[in-house]
Amino acid sequence: MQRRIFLVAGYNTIALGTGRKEFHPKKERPGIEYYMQEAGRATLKKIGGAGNVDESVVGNFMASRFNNQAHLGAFIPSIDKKLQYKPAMRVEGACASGGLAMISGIKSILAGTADVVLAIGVEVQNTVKAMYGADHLALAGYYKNRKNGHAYFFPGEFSDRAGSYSKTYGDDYARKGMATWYANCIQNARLCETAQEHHNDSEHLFDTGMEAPNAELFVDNLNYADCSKVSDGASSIAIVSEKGLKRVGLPLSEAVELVGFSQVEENIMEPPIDECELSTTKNAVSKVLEMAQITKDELATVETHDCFTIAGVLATEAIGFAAKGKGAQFVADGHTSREGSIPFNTTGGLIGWGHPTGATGVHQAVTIWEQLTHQAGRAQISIPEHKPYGLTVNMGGNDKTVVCMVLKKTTG
Amino acid sequence: MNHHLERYKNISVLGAAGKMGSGILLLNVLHSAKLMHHPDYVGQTFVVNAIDQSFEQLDKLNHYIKDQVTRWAEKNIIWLRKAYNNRPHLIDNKDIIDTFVFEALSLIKPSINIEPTYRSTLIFEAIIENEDVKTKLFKQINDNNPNKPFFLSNTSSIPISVLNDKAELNGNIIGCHFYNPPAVQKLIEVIETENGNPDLTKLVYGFANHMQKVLVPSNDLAGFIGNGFLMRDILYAEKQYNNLKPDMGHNKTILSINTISHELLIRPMGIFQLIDYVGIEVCTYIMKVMNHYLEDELISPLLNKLLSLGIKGGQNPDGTQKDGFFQYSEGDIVGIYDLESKSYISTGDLMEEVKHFLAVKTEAYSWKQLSQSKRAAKHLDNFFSELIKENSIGAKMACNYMRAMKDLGIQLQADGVCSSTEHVNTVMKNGFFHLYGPVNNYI
Repeated sequence: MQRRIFLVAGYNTIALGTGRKEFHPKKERPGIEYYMQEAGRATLKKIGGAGNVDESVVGNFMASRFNNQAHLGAFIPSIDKKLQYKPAMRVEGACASGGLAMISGIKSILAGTADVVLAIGVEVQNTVKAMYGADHLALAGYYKNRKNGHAYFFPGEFSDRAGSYSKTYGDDYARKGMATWYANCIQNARLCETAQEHHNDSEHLFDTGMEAPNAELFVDNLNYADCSKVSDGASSIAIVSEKGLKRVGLPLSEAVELVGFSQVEENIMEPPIDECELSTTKNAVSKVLEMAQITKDELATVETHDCFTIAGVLATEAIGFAAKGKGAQFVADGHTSREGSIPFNTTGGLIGWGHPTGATGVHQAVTIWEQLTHQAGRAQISIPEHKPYGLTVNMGGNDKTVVCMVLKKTTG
Repeated sequence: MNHHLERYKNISVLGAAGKMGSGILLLNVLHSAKLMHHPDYVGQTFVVNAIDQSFEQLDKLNHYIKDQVTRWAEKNIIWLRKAYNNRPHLIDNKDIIDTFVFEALSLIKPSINIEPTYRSTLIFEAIIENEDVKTKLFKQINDNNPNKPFFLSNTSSIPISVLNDKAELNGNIIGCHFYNPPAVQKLIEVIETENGNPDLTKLVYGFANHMQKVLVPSNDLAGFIGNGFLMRDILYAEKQYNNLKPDMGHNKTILSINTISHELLIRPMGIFQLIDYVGIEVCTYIMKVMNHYLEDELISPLLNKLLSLGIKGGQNPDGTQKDGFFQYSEGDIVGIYDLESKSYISTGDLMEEVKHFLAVKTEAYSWKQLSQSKRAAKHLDNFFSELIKENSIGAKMACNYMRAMKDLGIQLQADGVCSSTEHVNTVMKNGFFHLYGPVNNYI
């Protein structure tokens, strides 16, 4: 890269939704502007105020439907008066909107048009009941496929993937991998105070994950535990150049360095090339590792887009930790747990931390930043000296838009 | 073409704006709206007449039905998407739900006149529990309706054969006793008359099956199983009240028996709270109606006394609980009606004294906890096996209560109200949300 890029001052609001003790579906809840302001102000506070910011970007998927609100870029000045009349914009790429916000900020730094970019991801989805939310989220797919899709469109899409995987490699085999993924996520979420599943104290996580899907009530091949929940939340982080890092006055030890990024698209109008493989993720991961000039074995942790447990299992294969068809075994054997050979989603991921769709890509960056700078609190994992890297994989739609980043622990 | 289904094309619900009638109307609207998607009936006209005494009541009904149909549609969106698969312009869940709600509401034809029923083939009745009023109406409809309509009465206490004979319905009537609220409660008690039309029986079972209801056959004896059990349960509680009151006084006695029947029998509510829920006036009225047809006399001096003081219980139109034996705040008991001061007094300190008096040591899960537990049967088994060993007053009274309820269930069978005590258990579990039937091996 022509300029060094760092991430500093990450922040997550709580992921609000069912499971959080504060959540009550019939009580009034904060609006989207509240989340943007809370997250944005927290990051600004850490970087010496809004005066240090050159421009801002907000990733959001579907405020226009969930909140009847578009034009989110113009909410940025509400975070701080010093952002008034500075550049800001909203970017969208379904559930990869947060990742695209990161990419947008990174490119501004690379272009030299900014040295400090405030990146925010936000989504507030508990404004409608699940069956109507499914309509909104379905817009991440090709609309002409909606009519013949499932009522719960995306669970239906990933149920098809889980069904193909089960059919090819064995039903019980696949289910055990998915159930283990779920149990790991909840256990990790318990360690993170902002996680939606932080209060989940079930003693039967694996059993819950093993429950047979009920097609009459939901989809053919997924149970409710296989799905990330409906979440409200925001995350923010500052993307800075070396010059920007000096400007915000933070030590290098509180920063992680971005050493690679990739963003790829697959044709939304076509069905998945292979239901048992995340082809776009595989492509994006290959590119990001190549750009970072590292191998997967140098990764200390991964934040992957487990909107459904099957997506987590398939990600282990797409990244290359497991051979094709061996991901369920890899997960069931404990490799992806926090004590495993490659801890995934250490604060719960989308299943456990939550999935405010447009915020997820930023949240993933914040989590890796926390881990590599030892600011993850009770969720902190060990970062070995020979593995100073973390990887994010943020997916939009059914593996159609993928954003990856490789972040490196700083020295000095 | 299914002959039984043909009868659903023109239905009338009498008393449609009432508490039970509105639920029965809702079930019929949903049933007919679903039927409209049956391959044999696509494009045909269905009518559900909603008959009641005033347009004001019927207007309110519209809101209730719209709300409930919408909820149903939301819950059944997977089925609905399949049903509307042939309508290409209906794409989003919202499009489909809105269309279904519109089509379902369009079925309802409200009226304050009886004439629309003259073209109906099915008449659901949920009007006042009065033999003369019901039979007069049935006869009028039957005499003016060329379709030989089937009558489905929601009476909870009047023998169906009496209605049949007096209205001269020639066996075209069946007891179809829904539980409140009909749309939610799974249970329907079915009461056939001796020479009833078998086609009508078949139709009711088909309806129940389609609406995923649990049917329990009851013989045609006033009160049937549900009220047959409840009214005698009330009188058993009153008997215990009379035994305990001289030592304990009214307030603590009521609270003690209510606590035993609630917390130690692990029911959704205690017996006196249940009376408040049903309505003190309703309970005494049902006893009165039953007495008219039964040899044994069901009389509650306690309920009559409260009624004479203007204490009625029951529910407000919005579903909230009216004060009765107890005073309520957001559904919780906060006070008890004190017969001496003729006002409500706080239950706070009294409950402490009652708990001390009952002195039960065995810890029980609440009904709410067990109703959501997959291990409820095991917990119940453990709890009752411990309770039975206890010597506390509370444990002994609870065990006696359970024995009395078991005897009551057995007696209902012996009296010919039902052919099996299992039917009693089914009614109490499904109609009253008990976690176990009264005829059990716990005691």
